[in-house]
Amino acid sequence: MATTFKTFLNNDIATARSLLHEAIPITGTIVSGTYNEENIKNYAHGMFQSVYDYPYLSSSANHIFDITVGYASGSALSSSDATGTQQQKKLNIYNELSQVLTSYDASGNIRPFDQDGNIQNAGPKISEAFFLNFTRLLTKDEIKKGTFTATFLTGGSIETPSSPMTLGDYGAATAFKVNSPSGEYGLLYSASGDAGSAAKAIGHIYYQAGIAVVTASIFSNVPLNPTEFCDFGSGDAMYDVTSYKTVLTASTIQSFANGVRNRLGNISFNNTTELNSTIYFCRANVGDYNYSSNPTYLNNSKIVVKGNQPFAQPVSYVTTIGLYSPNNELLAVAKLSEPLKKTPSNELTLRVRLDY
Amino acid sequence: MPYYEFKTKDTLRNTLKTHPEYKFNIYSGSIYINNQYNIAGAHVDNVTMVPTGFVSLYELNIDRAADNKIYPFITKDGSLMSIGTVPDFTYNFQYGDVITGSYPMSASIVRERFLFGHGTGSNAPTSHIRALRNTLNDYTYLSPSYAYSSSLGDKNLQEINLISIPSIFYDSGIKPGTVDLKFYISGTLVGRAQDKNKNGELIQVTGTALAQTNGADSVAGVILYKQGCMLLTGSWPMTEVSFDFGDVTRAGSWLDFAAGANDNLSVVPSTSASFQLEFQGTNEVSTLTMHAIAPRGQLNHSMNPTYRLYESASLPPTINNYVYAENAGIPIKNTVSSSFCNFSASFAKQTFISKIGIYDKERNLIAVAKLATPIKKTEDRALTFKLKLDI
Repeated sequence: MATTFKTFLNNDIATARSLLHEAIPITGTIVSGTYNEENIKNYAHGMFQSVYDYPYLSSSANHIFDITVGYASGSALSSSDATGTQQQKKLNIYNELSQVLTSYDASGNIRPFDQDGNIQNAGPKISEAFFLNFTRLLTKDEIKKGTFTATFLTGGSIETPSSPMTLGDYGAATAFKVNSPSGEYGLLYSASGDAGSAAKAIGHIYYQAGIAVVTASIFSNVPLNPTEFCDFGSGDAMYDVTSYKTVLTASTIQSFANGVRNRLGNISFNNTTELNSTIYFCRANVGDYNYSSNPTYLNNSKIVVKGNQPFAQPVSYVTTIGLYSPNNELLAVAKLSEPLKKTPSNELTLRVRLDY
Repeated sequence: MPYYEFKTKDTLRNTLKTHPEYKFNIYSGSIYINNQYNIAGAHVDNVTMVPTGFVSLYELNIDRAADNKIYPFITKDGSLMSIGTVPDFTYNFQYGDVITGSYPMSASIVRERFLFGHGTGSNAPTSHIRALRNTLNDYTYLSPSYAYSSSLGDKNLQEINLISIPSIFYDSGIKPGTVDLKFYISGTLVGRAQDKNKNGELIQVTGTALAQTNGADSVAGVILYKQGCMLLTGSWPMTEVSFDFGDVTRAGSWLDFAAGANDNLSVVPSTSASFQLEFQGTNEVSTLTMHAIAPRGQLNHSMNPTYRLYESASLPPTINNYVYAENAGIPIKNTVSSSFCNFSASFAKQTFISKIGIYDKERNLIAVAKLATPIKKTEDRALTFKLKLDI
């Protein structure tokens, strides 16, 4: 135990921030197929559907994301669905997420999702969208920009879906939007060549919130200007084989989520964890810490340094560093992997890193 | 919104101690934790993707194909950060290189048996017991049985059965008095040792007639509570006949306890022998209790737009080149309910407290406490809200 303390000076303390990432692959077979729907949790309120990575009754299962869908009050589907199933819930879902992710306009109205992310102009809106809400377990502090991809099968029949389309936030590592109250977001494109052409964006990925907003019209021949629609629905609920529009207006949110899962290929992204560190440079100068108050430093319990050589250089071995508060309360202890020899002829600078 | 500063007596700091209990069963070279068995998945035999008897840190990869696992990575920069499982000396990483790790990481108990004379001669450098010398001697205030070398035995020479428990199972230390070792042969309890005196001595408390004749109330070993190491030295025979314990065939003793527990035996121990190890860990949770006081006569006004009468829209603010001033005549909504029909209660200022914000010195909002139901605050009522934060 130390009997002398040294006070840190300003240049003895530095802070650092490191980014730790994890690669998160989610295969489509997890979402539909492998577990025979036992990893899909539906709720009595019917407002969203939860996807687990294993049958959710198992304690090993992890909640990985939720699927839900909604449309804006200004959507054509909204007016055509006046008596539709769960219409109010679909409006509420859209309004809730747009409040959180895009907030309000100057008049106090909820701002719908802007297709190109430029809220200053009156460009087209994403009025019918489905949402993938990833859990904090997967996204941690945020999704790494430029790494998100999701593949959807946007053609063919329900039994044999085809025409894979890979959505990605291409180019978002350097070009992303900052006009959301929920943090930064990138535009989703169907091809890397579209990056930078905001008019071709078909969705948003909100990095800190961990939410992907995708226009429901991707299940068609031309996502932004559809003329033909693929059959949409899930194999176990053959309520409709016409188009996503019919499912969205005439069926439940759960049915739409089943359809999305049926046509979901792989999802992949990297998450980010911020590691904040404070680095303390503990400096043992020439004249510091060459003696020890450890009882073993003495000879047979006598107050004589071991060896009893009064003219020899004092020597000690540094094994531990204690960080103390201004009130001399021990706050943290750093241990060395091996003791370091300290004599009046050498100096040590020990770098202690505290992560939090 | 007014701010109130916590006074010295308004905050309390406590430590909550919890004691998670673990039970290890060791049988025929396999370990089972808390009686859990493997659950087969679509891709792997055990969905947690760790061997039987291991816990998975983070439990991120559940039933995943080999080429589809979540893994951590970090880009080498000047911060000297790396993945903990990647030794610095293994690779010469350049700036910008991606250093990858792998999940799942796992942990379980490990048994090591040290033969007589393990700490001397050419064996010495490989003996982990020698590394525990100072630690063992530090524990002698609890019991002389800990002493590395004494009249009770020389741990540098003795045959020792070392069982190491990773700290993920006990956190800050094993709770004294909870360690329980059971030695079974063909389902019959032949010996049981406990730290019944809470001093780290593992004392044989019960067993078969032979075991009790040879070692009743004897110290079978010691446990290092903070380090999670058990050193079993009890060599008295507890069984009449010999059994194959993987690396030795002899009458069973505490030196053979937990044979097959990750001890790299080339031969699976006899199926007649099974072992059980129980203990409780100690997990300390620091809690901060704050008493947020809403004083009498204060916090009775709200800036919420709904606090005013809707008709106030007809009382526009004064706006000109120099001033924006709300209309002084805007009436406050009377939310006091009357007990009588068709009668409006007298006006009184009251609010409904729904949440409490905690701010730091710079007035950054750092925590929000929400009430289950709003609490009515009237001018003559003082309220104290008790907030608890686990740190």
